[in-house]
Amino acid sequence: MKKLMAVLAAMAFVVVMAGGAWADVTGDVDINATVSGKCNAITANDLTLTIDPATASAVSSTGSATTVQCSKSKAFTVTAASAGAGGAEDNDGSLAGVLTGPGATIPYTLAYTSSFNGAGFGSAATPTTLLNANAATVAIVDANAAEEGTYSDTVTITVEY
Amino acid sequence: MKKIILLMAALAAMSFAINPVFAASPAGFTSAEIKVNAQVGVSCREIQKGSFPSPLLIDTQTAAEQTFPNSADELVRCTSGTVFTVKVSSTNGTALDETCTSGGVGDMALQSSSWPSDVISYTFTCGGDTDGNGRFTGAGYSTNKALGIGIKIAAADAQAAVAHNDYSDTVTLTITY
Repeated sequence: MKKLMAVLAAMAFVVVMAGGAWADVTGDVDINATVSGKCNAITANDLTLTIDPATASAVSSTGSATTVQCSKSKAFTVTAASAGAGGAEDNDGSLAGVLTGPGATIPYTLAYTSSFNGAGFGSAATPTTLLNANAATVAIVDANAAEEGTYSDTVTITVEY
Repeated sequence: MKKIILLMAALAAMSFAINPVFAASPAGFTSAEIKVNAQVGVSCREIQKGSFPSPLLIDTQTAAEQTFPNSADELVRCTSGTVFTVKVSSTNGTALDETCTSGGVGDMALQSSSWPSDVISYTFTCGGDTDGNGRFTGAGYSTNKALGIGIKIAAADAQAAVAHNDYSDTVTLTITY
Protein backbone atom coordinates (compact mmCIF):
# COMPACT_ATOMS: atom_id res chain seq x y z
CA MET A 1 0.00 0.00 0.00
CA LYS A 2 2.79 2.40 0.89
CA LYS A 3 4.44 1.57 -2.41
CA LEU A 4 1.24 2.25 -4.35
CA MET A 5 0.83 5.68 -2.71
CA ALA A 6 4.40 6.55 -3.67
CA VAL A 7 3.75 5.62 -7.31
CA LEU A 8 0.54 7.71 -7.44
CA ALA A 9 2.30 10.73 -5.94
CA ALA A 10 4.99 10.45 -8.55
CA MET A 11 2.44 10.23 -11.36
CA ALA A 12 0.62 13.30 -10.10
CA PHE A 13 3.78 15.26 -10.06
CA VAL A 14 4.57 14.31 -13.62
CA VAL A 15 1.09 15.26 -14.82
CA VAL A 16 1.23 18.69 -13.23
CA MET A 17 4.60 19.36 -14.62
CA ALA A 18 3.62 18.24 -18.09
CA GLY A 19 0.47 20.41 -18.11
CA GLY A 20 2.36 23.53 -17.26
CA ALA A 21 4.87 22.91 -19.95
CA TRP A 22 2.67 21.94 -22.99
CA ALA A 23 -0.88 23.45 -23.14
CA ASP A 24 -3.47 25.96 -21.82
CA VAL A 25 -6.13 24.64 -19.54
CA THR A 26 -9.60 24.69 -21.22
CA GLY A 27 -13.02 23.83 -19.97
CA ASP A 28 -16.65 23.87 -21.12
CA VAL A 29 -19.35 25.68 -19.21
CA ASP A 30 -22.88 24.51 -19.92
CA ILE A 31 -25.53 27.22 -19.98
CA ASN A 32 -29.05 25.95 -20.04
CA ALA A 33 -32.07 28.16 -20.74
CA THR A 34 -35.79 27.55 -20.80
CA VAL A 35 -38.17 29.80 -22.73
CA SER A 36 -41.59 29.28 -21.32
CA GLY A 37 -44.57 29.05 -23.59
CA LYS A 38 -46.97 31.83 -22.79
CA CYS A 39 -49.31 34.37 -24.31
CA ASN A 40 -50.19 37.95 -23.65
CA ALA A 41 -53.76 38.91 -22.93
CA ILE A 42 -56.02 38.47 -25.92
CA THR A 43 -56.92 41.68 -27.72
CA ALA A 44 -60.65 41.06 -27.99
CA ASN A 45 -63.06 43.00 -30.18
CA ASP A 46 -66.82 42.64 -30.34
CA LEU A 47 -68.56 41.70 -33.57
CA THR A 48 -71.78 43.12 -35.03
CA LEU A 49 -74.30 41.47 -37.32
CA THR A 50 -76.77 43.73 -39.10
CA ILE A 51 -79.46 41.45 -40.42
CA ASP A 52 -81.87 42.42 -43.16
CA PRO A 53 -84.49 39.66 -43.13
CA ALA A 54 -85.01 40.18 -46.86
CA THR A 55 -81.42 39.28 -47.62
CA ALA A 56 -80.63 36.84 -50.39
CA SER A 57 -77.20 36.03 -49.05
CA ALA A 58 -75.62 35.01 -45.78
CA VAL A 59 -74.93 37.83 -43.33
CA SER A 60 -71.38 38.31 -42.07
CA SER A 61 -70.26 40.28 -39.07
CA THR A 62 -68.32 43.50 -39.02
CA GLY A 63 -65.93 44.89 -36.44
CA SER A 64 -62.27 44.29 -35.74
CA ALA A 65 -60.18 41.16 -35.54
CA THR A 66 -59.36 39.51 -32.23
CA THR A 67 -55.64 38.78 -31.85
CA VAL A 68 -53.05 37.42 -29.44
CA GLN A 69 -49.27 37.32 -29.13
CA CYS A 70 -47.66 34.08 -27.96
CA SER A 71 -44.19 32.53 -27.65
CA LYS A 72 -42.50 32.09 -31.02
CA SER A 73 -42.88 28.75 -32.78
CA LYS A 74 -44.64 27.09 -29.88
CA ALA A 75 -47.84 25.29 -30.78
CA PHE A 76 -51.02 26.57 -29.14
CA THR A 77 -54.59 25.34 -29.22
CA VAL A 78 -57.72 27.45 -29.06
CA THR A 79 -61.19 26.70 -27.79
CA ALA A 80 -64.37 28.72 -28.12
CA ALA A 81 -67.65 28.53 -26.25
CA SER A 82 -70.98 30.27 -26.90
CA ALA A 83 -73.00 31.17 -23.83
CA GLY A 84 -76.17 31.22 -25.91
CA ALA A 85 -75.51 27.68 -27.11
CA GLY A 86 -74.97 26.36 -23.61
CA GLY A 87 -71.29 27.13 -23.09
CA ALA A 88 -69.80 23.86 -24.33
CA GLU A 89 -66.22 24.23 -25.54
CA ASP A 90 -65.54 23.76 -29.23
CA ASN A 91 -62.08 23.16 -30.67
CA ASP A 92 -62.56 22.49 -34.36
CA GLY A 93 -62.48 26.08 -35.58
CA SER A 94 -66.20 26.43 -36.28
CA LEU A 95 -68.38 27.26 -33.32
CA ALA A 96 -72.16 26.84 -33.57
CA GLY A 97 -73.34 29.84 -31.58
CA VAL A 98 -76.78 31.12 -30.69
CA LEU A 99 -77.82 34.77 -30.55
CA THR A 100 -80.49 35.43 -27.97
CA GLY A 101 -83.06 38.19 -28.32
CA PRO A 102 -86.40 39.11 -26.84
CA GLY A 103 -88.28 35.85 -27.07
CA ALA A 104 -86.36 34.47 -30.02
CA THR A 105 -82.96 33.11 -30.99
CA ILE A 106 -80.86 33.11 -34.15
CA PRO A 107 -78.25 30.43 -34.83
CA TYR A 108 -74.93 31.52 -36.28
CA THR A 109 -71.47 30.16 -37.01
CA LEU A 110 -68.24 31.59 -35.66
CA ALA A 111 -65.03 30.72 -37.51
CA TYR A 112 -61.89 30.90 -35.41
CA THR A 113 -58.27 29.78 -35.46
CA SER A 114 -58.21 26.46 -33.64
CA SER A 115 -54.42 26.02 -33.50
CA PHE A 116 -51.36 28.04 -34.36
CA ASN A 117 -47.66 28.47 -33.75
CA GLY A 118 -46.79 31.59 -31.83
CA ALA A 119 -45.09 34.46 -33.63
CA GLY A 120 -43.30 35.87 -30.61
CA PHE A 121 -43.72 39.09 -28.74
CA GLY A 122 -42.86 42.69 -29.34
CA SER A 123 -43.75 45.16 -32.04
CA ALA A 124 -41.82 43.22 -34.68
CA ALA A 125 -43.97 40.13 -34.23
CA THR A 126 -47.28 40.02 -36.05
CA PRO A 127 -50.06 39.12 -33.63
CA THR A 128 -51.92 35.95 -34.45
CA THR A 129 -55.52 36.45 -35.54
CA LEU A 130 -57.94 34.33 -33.59
CA LEU A 131 -61.11 35.82 -35.12
CA ASN A 132 -61.50 37.89 -38.24
CA ALA A 133 -63.92 40.80 -38.31
CA ASN A 134 -66.27 38.75 -40.51
CA ALA A 135 -65.96 35.62 -38.39
CA ALA A 136 -69.63 35.41 -37.41
CA THR A 137 -72.10 34.34 -40.10
CA VAL A 138 -75.87 33.94 -40.14
CA ALA A 139 -77.18 31.63 -42.87
CA ILE A 140 -79.74 32.96 -45.36
CA VAL A 141 -82.55 30.77 -44.09
CA ASP A 142 -81.95 31.91 -40.52
CA ALA A 143 -81.72 35.58 -41.52
CA ASN A 144 -84.96 35.28 -43.51
CA ALA A 145 -86.75 33.77 -40.54
CA ALA A 146 -85.35 36.19 -37.96
CA GLU A 147 -87.71 38.27 -35.90
CA GLU A 148 -87.18 41.96 -35.39
CA GLY A 149 -85.08 42.88 -32.40
CA THR A 150 -81.68 43.13 -30.78
CA TYR A 151 -79.76 39.95 -30.13
CA SER A 152 -76.44 39.09 -28.51
CA ASP A 153 -74.17 36.25 -27.50
CA THR A 154 -71.03 36.05 -25.38
CA VAL A 155 -68.23 33.92 -26.75
CA THR A 156 -65.31 32.86 -24.58
CA ILE A 157 -62.08 32.36 -26.52
CA THR A 158 -59.31 30.50 -24.71
CA VAL A 159 -55.73 29.89 -25.84
CA GLU A 160 -54.15 26.96 -24.04
CA TYR A 161 -50.48 26.18 -23.65
CA MET B 1 -29.74 -3.56 -1.70
CA LYS B 2 -32.89 -5.52 -2.39
CA LYS B 3 -34.88 -2.93 -0.43
CA ILE B 4 -33.47 -0.08 -2.51
CA ILE B 5 -34.37 -1.80 -5.78
CA LEU B 6 -37.91 -2.41 -4.60
CA LEU B 7 -38.26 1.25 -3.58
CA MET B 8 -36.99 2.44 -6.97
CA ALA B 9 -39.39 0.12 -8.75
CA ALA B 10 -42.26 1.47 -6.69
CA LEU B 11 -41.29 5.07 -7.48
CA ALA B 12 -41.04 4.27 -11.17
CA ALA B 13 -44.46 2.68 -11.12
CA MET B 14 -45.92 5.75 -9.39
CA SER B 15 -44.43 8.09 -11.93
CA PHE B 16 -46.02 6.11 -14.78
CA ALA B 17 -49.34 6.28 -13.02
CA ILE B 18 -49.20 9.97 -12.23
CA ASN B 19 -47.74 11.36 -15.48
CA PRO B 20 -50.77 10.85 -17.74
CA VAL B 21 -52.98 12.76 -15.32
CA PHE B 22 -50.86 15.88 -15.41
CA ALA B 23 -49.87 15.63 -19.06
CA ALA B 24 -53.45 16.33 -20.18
CA SER B 25 -53.67 19.61 -18.32
CA PRO B 26 -52.37 22.71 -20.10
CA ALA B 27 -49.58 24.60 -18.42
CA GLY B 28 -51.50 27.82 -18.75
CA PHE B 29 -54.08 29.71 -20.71
CA THR B 30 -55.28 33.14 -21.68
CA SER B 31 -58.92 33.81 -22.20
CA ALA B 32 -61.22 36.62 -23.32
CA GLU B 33 -64.92 37.24 -23.82
CA ILE B 34 -66.25 38.58 -27.10
CA LYS B 35 -69.73 39.94 -27.60
CA VAL B 36 -71.49 39.08 -30.82
CA ASN B 37 -74.32 41.56 -31.29
CA ALA B 38 -77.04 41.39 -33.91
CA GLN B 39 -79.78 43.72 -35.02
CA VAL B 40 -82.67 42.48 -37.09
CA GLY B 41 -84.58 45.17 -38.96
CA VAL B 42 -88.20 45.25 -40.07
CA SER B 43 -89.11 45.19 -43.71
CA CYS B 44 -91.75 43.93 -46.12
CA ARG B 45 -91.61 43.09 -49.79
CA GLU B 46 -94.28 42.45 -52.38
CA ILE B 47 -93.94 38.97 -53.81
CA GLN B 48 -96.97 38.83 -56.07
CA LYS B 49 -99.32 41.54 -57.30
CA GLY B 50 -102.97 40.80 -56.71
CA SER B 51 -105.49 40.74 -59.54
CA PHE B 52 -109.13 39.94 -60.32
CA PRO B 53 -110.84 38.31 -63.26
CA SER B 54 -111.29 40.78 -66.06
CA PRO B 55 -114.00 41.63 -66.50
CA LEU B 56 -115.98 40.88 -63.35
CA LEU B 57 -119.33 39.53 -64.43
CA ILE B 58 -121.90 41.37 -62.33
CA ASP B 59 -125.38 39.91 -62.22
CA THR B 60 -127.83 42.80 -61.97
CA GLN B 61 -130.79 40.57 -61.26
CA THR B 62 -129.61 38.65 -58.23
CA ALA B 63 -131.02 39.56 -54.85
CA ALA B 64 -127.94 38.47 -52.94
CA GLU B 65 -124.60 40.08 -52.31
CA GLN B 66 -122.08 39.05 -54.93
CA THR B 67 -118.53 38.13 -54.02
CA PHE B 68 -115.60 37.97 -56.38
CA PRO B 69 -112.51 36.10 -55.31
CA ASN B 70 -109.14 37.16 -56.64
CA SER B 71 -107.49 35.47 -59.58
CA ALA B 72 -104.13 36.08 -57.95
CA ASP B 73 -103.81 36.99 -54.33
CA GLU B 74 -101.59 39.79 -53.12
CA LEU B 75 -98.58 38.10 -51.52
CA VAL B 76 -96.05 39.81 -49.29
CA ARG B 77 -93.17 38.76 -47.09
CA CYS B 78 -92.38 40.60 -43.90
CA THR B 79 -89.99 40.15 -41.02
CA SER B 80 -91.12 37.28 -38.87
CA GLY B 81 -93.43 38.38 -36.10
CA THR B 82 -93.85 41.91 -37.42
CA VAL B 83 -97.40 43.21 -37.18
CA PHE B 84 -98.45 45.25 -40.19
CA THR B 85 -101.60 46.72 -41.63
CA VAL B 86 -102.74 47.20 -45.19
CA LYS B 87 -104.10 50.58 -46.25
CA VAL B 88 -106.41 50.73 -49.24
CA SER B 89 -107.10 53.59 -51.61
CA SER B 90 -109.50 53.65 -54.56
CA THR B 91 -108.85 55.72 -57.67
CA ASN B 92 -112.54 56.04 -58.51
CA GLY B 93 -113.97 55.87 -55.01
CA THR B 94 -113.36 58.03 -51.98
CA ALA B 95 -111.44 55.47 -49.92
CA LEU B 96 -108.06 56.85 -49.00
CA ASP B 97 -105.61 54.81 -46.91
CA GLU B 98 -108.36 52.97 -45.12
CA THR B 99 -107.36 49.91 -43.12
CA CYS B 100 -108.23 46.75 -44.99
CA THR B 101 -109.97 44.10 -42.90
CA SER B 102 -111.79 40.86 -43.51
CA GLY B 103 -114.96 42.93 -43.12
CA GLY B 104 -113.80 45.11 -45.97
CA VAL B 105 -113.35 48.73 -46.93
CA GLY B 106 -116.30 50.63 -48.38
CA ASP B 107 -116.08 53.84 -50.38
CA MET B 108 -114.72 51.91 -53.33
CA ALA B 109 -116.16 52.48 -56.78
CA LEU B 110 -116.04 50.98 -60.25
CA GLN B 111 -116.44 53.69 -62.85
CA SER B 112 -117.43 53.45 -66.48
CA SER B 113 -114.80 55.01 -68.70
CA SER B 114 -117.36 55.85 -71.38
CA TRP B 115 -119.94 57.12 -68.89
CA PRO B 116 -117.93 58.46 -65.94
CA SER B 117 -121.04 59.37 -64.06
CA ASP B 118 -122.00 55.70 -63.91
CA VAL B 119 -120.37 54.02 -60.96
CA ILE B 120 -120.89 50.84 -58.96
CA SER B 121 -119.99 50.91 -55.29
CA TYR B 122 -118.18 47.88 -53.92
CA THR B 123 -116.30 46.67 -50.87
CA PHE B 124 -112.69 45.59 -50.94
CA THR B 125 -111.80 42.87 -48.41
CA CYS B 126 -108.60 41.50 -46.92
CA GLY B 127 -109.58 38.11 -45.56
CA GLY B 128 -106.05 37.22 -44.50
CA ASP B 129 -105.91 39.57 -41.57
CA THR B 130 -104.94 37.86 -38.37
CA ASP B 131 -107.53 39.21 -35.99
CA GLY B 132 -110.30 40.67 -38.13
CA ASN B 133 -109.08 44.18 -37.37
CA GLY B 134 -106.73 44.54 -40.28
CA ARG B 135 -103.62 43.38 -38.45
CA PHE B 136 -101.34 40.95 -40.24
CA THR B 137 -98.33 39.15 -38.81
CA GLY B 138 -95.20 38.63 -40.89
CA ALA B 139 -94.12 35.03 -41.34
CA GLY B 140 -90.50 35.77 -42.25
CA TYR B 141 -88.86 36.04 -45.65
CA SER B 142 -89.12 32.36 -46.33
CA THR B 143 -92.90 32.34 -46.21
CA ASN B 144 -95.47 34.26 -48.26
CA LYS B 145 -98.25 36.04 -46.44
CA ALA B 146 -101.46 36.17 -48.47
CA LEU B 147 -103.65 39.20 -47.88
CA GLY B 148 -106.73 37.32 -49.07
CA ILE B 149 -108.07 40.14 -51.21
CA GLY B 150 -111.63 40.00 -52.49
CA ILE B 151 -114.50 42.16 -53.75
CA LYS B 152 -118.10 42.28 -52.60
CA ILE B 153 -120.94 44.09 -54.35
CA ALA B 154 -124.15 44.62 -52.47
CA ALA B 155 -127.30 43.37 -54.15
CA ALA B 156 -128.79 46.88 -54.26
CA ASP B 157 -125.68 48.30 -55.98
CA ALA B 158 -125.61 45.49 -58.54
CA GLN B 159 -129.31 45.86 -59.27
CA ALA B 160 -128.92 49.60 -59.77
CA ALA B 161 -125.92 49.30 -62.05
CA VAL B 162 -126.19 50.68 -65.58
CA ALA B 163 -125.07 48.20 -68.22
CA HIS B 164 -121.59 49.00 -69.53
CA ASN B 165 -118.60 46.81 -70.27
CA ASP B 166 -115.95 49.29 -69.25
CA TYR B 167 -116.16 49.62 -65.48
CA SER B 168 -112.84 49.68 -63.70
CA ASP B 169 -111.00 50.85 -60.63
CA THR B 170 -107.40 50.88 -59.52
CA VAL B 171 -106.73 49.90 -55.93
CA THR B 172 -103.56 50.95 -54.17
CA LEU B 173 -102.42 48.79 -51.27
CA THR B 174 -99.92 50.21 -48.81
CA ILE B 175 -98.23 48.01 -46.24
CA THR B 176 -97.68 49.91 -42.99
CA TYR B 177 -95.43 48.61 -40.20
